[in-house]
Amino acid sequence: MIDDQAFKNMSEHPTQSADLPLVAFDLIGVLAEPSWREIHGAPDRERWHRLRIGAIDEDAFWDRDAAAAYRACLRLRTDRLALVSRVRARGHRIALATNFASAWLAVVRERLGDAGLVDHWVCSGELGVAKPDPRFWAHLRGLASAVVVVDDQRDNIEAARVAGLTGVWALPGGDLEARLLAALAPGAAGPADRRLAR
Amino acid sequence: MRGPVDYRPLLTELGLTDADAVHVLEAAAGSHTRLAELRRLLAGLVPPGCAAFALGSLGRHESSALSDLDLAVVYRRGACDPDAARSAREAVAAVLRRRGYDVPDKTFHSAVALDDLLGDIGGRGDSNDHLTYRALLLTEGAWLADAADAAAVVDAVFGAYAGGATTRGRYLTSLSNDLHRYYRTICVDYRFKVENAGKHWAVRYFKLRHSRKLWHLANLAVFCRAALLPDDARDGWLAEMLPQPPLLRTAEALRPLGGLPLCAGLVTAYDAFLAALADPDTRGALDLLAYDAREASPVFRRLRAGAERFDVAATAVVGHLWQRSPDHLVRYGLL
Repeated sequence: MIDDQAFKNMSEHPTQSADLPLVAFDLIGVLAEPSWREIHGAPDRERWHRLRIGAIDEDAFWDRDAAAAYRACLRLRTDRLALVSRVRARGHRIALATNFASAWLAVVRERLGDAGLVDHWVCSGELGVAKPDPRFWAHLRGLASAVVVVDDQRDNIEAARVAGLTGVWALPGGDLEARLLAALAPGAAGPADRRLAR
Repeated sequence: MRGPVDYRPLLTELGLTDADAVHVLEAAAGSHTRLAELRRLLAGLVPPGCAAFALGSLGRHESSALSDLDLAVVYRRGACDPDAARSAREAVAAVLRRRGYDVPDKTFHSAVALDDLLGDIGGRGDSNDHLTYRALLLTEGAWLADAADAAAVVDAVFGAYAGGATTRGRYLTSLSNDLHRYYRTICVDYRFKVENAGKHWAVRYFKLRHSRKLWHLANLAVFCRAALLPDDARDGWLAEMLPQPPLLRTAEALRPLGGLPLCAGLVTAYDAFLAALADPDTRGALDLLAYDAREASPVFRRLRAGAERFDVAATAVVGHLWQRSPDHLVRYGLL
């Protein structure tokens, strides 16, 4: 259960507008930490690619101790949730758009409690496709006429742009709120974040 | 770093094989294994608003079984009670020690408030300790407990420099100056520790000539590269690069500047250094080596020769930066 004062009073839900862009936040690297890879001694990416689209169950992915440890480690970022609440207070609907195992979603829902921050849960484990697959973005586009994607992976931002969505890179240490609000300003939707220098 | 640090693509680019960087690879793999194990062990041990980090060689993914563990606990006032943070620091240190880690109670002996690290940067209340926290959280801070608060802490440290309305500098020189300052501080700290505090000189001397110097070189290279990026791309690139291990961030900086092959010499010289630090006999010999007897020591002469090879490689990198990013190197790296 989140406990930061900044969004303890979230019971006053604003009226969300379907005319405003939907804001789709990534989970790990944006709203929560850590990645499963950070607590796994020998991460197996192939197996992860199957878990994240629901092709295998969690018990085929890692052992029970690891599963319990990940749930114990998984935490939401209160500073970022405060940002989500401010964006939602402006009338935007919020999506959580994540490459994540469906088995782990319950932990996130439980940690969020009844804050009412998320209007749409878009999880690769439930959807059967993962970012940056175009079908993932197509699903998001089906939820709103304009979608702004906030993601920490550059490849996802690029793919979102190709799919016609607006991308905002949640770069570490950056002024995410200022850039997100700039992307949400009337007439701003269009190009992906230009800060993707390599 | 989300998973194990993978140097193999870089080695391939450099025309090197695993055999050329055995100890770099071992240190990276071993560090990830240690971090993953400790994170599981420490889950839930710090309260909300508080995060535990491994700094130093483990944070750089360069540790060996002989490395000590610089534990740093940082908390946010208002989100975490100071006493709870202090207790958490003691609890985490106790768990680590029970697992056999040497957790020194030096610079990072107590939990520190994030506000204190950021509230007086460059001011009279700023201290070497606070400078150390900031520099290392940004460049070699691997979370041990509460990854979410750890990420928020690192973001806040970077933001303290990037958000300076008047003083940040177009090239984020408020940050590069602080990293320079930290590097010079640890160079002088060597003098204090050996001359005044009775600490042994040899391992510290070779760390200065390898890991400390590489850390500084990597920062220099990264900022020289960043200066050539569009203004609106610079902060993001810097924030992404600074947490990378120094060899990787040097390579990332040199690649677009046409200097990547120069990393080969750094990698092989650094590999020899990591081999020495991971070897109990070598460390034991260094711990006993009297300064006046150094020339008679084969271990000392071997490591000094390695340090000289490292200097040659580092000098070549600086020479390349001089050619490709002279304005930034001179105006901000030297003057």
